[in-house]
Amino acid sequence: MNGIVSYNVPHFFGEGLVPWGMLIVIHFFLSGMAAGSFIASAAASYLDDEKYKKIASIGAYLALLSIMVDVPILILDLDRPLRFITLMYRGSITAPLTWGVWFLMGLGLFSLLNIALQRGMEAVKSYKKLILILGSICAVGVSAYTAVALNIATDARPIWSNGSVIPIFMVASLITGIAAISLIVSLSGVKKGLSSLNTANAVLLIFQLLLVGFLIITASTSSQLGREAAGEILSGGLSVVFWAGLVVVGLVVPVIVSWSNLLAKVAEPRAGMTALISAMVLVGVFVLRYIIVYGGQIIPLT
Amino acid sequence: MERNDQHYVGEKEGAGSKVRWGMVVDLRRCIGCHACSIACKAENEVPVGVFRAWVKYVDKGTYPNVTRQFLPRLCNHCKSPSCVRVCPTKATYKRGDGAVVVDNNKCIGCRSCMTACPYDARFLNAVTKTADKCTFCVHRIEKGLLPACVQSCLGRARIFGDLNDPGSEISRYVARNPVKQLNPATGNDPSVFYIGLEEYVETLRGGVTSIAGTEGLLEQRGDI
Repeated sequence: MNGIVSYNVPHFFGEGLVPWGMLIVIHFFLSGMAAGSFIASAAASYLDDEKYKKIASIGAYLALLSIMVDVPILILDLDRPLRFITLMYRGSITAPLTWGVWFLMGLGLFSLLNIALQRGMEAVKSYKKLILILGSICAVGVSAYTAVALNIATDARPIWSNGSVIPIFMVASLITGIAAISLIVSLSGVKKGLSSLNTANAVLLIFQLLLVGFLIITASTSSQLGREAAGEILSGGLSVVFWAGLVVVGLVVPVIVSWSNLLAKVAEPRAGMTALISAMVLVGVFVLRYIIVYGGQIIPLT
Repeated sequence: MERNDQHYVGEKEGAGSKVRWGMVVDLRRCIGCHACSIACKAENEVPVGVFRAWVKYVDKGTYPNVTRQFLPRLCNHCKSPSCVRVCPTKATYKRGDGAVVVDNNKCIGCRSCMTACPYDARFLNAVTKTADKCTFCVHRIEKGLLPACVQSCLGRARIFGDLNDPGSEISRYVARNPVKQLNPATGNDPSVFYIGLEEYVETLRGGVTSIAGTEGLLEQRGDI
């Protein structure tokens, strides 16, 4: 024998298994889609009810649909799923999960009211501003709580405890919502408002590119653990999905295409291309959630 | 049971008490027999494949100059536990006597505590389907008995007692020896202290060249 051999009696699970896995990644993605599409719908509705009618309407339905798929997934991820009901009355205010559940419920309710609003129901029309503002607050809460849950967990997980995680998740939610609406709008053949969605995501994707860069740089310069975690993302087990899925498919190509549309002042971007780019952005955001969830758990703890 | 009996830990109640239970693990005395792991499993009916108390070890050197060092592990019962902060249903809580425990009637199995524990002390109990970990054997210490791992330790490497009582064996041990906590940078302030931890850490910092596990289950790297 030569050198140092470290023996470990694994005291739970096995190699490669983590406390938070794929269902949590899907939950983060869908809750981001719900929050982002509600905010996009609210902004569209607020800015120009006539011009952006289709966007506001699609956003409203998409928000509710995402929550309806998301909440059962979140419940199924629990090892005692039926006990989810205790979160309603036993919630601890220090736990991000408690806040998340309340924000999700609020967003579900306001998404329903937003659908009524978009369908022009008289009963809710006079409460338009209230519904859009309160719903947007819940949406911001939903998009932030997932990141806060990771961020406050423990400093021993350098990717999660990095300050960039919260803005990354919030921007990711907006990008998801806008890209999903954009995908549906372009597939349905309606071109009205498509260039506005393109502009919004062109700007947000630049922010996301910078934020991901900050995350990697600050994580790799913060500590030994941070360097190891960043190394796993850049050149280790997560590198293929990071470079191919997030950087190329999810960020660089969409940035180039959307900015070339923007700089060329294309009034009506081609539907097929927009649909493709939106789908690529959605893949990129999913990969981003995956990398952050797994990247935070890839370094063995003490 | 008399105070000088090694099984005596003081019959002090958990809630509202001034006690802060703690443990010192003297690595100079650990012989790596795993009696603690087994005693804990038997005492607490811990399911197959998971451990509340376990022993890590590292080998160093080139034959014939080889040394092996051990690191017994358990929940650190931190003074400022991050697992308690993130539990959404208050199932994980800190008792008045400092022991951090899980009420498995309240746990929903969201595994937030497992993500928040910097010491990897928690696991999911496949039988109860709730988070599980070392309890400092509160059911025993409430009756004046020592935790099972302490009682079964052949080398008397584990010293358990009240850190707030300056006359207790553990307080005297802490006062007389240079003790270290695992990864103190987390700010959790563990109630489990180690003597001789520096040597173990230094060995790992020397660079782990290969990793071995048991039953084919490998962990990727060393610790700390």
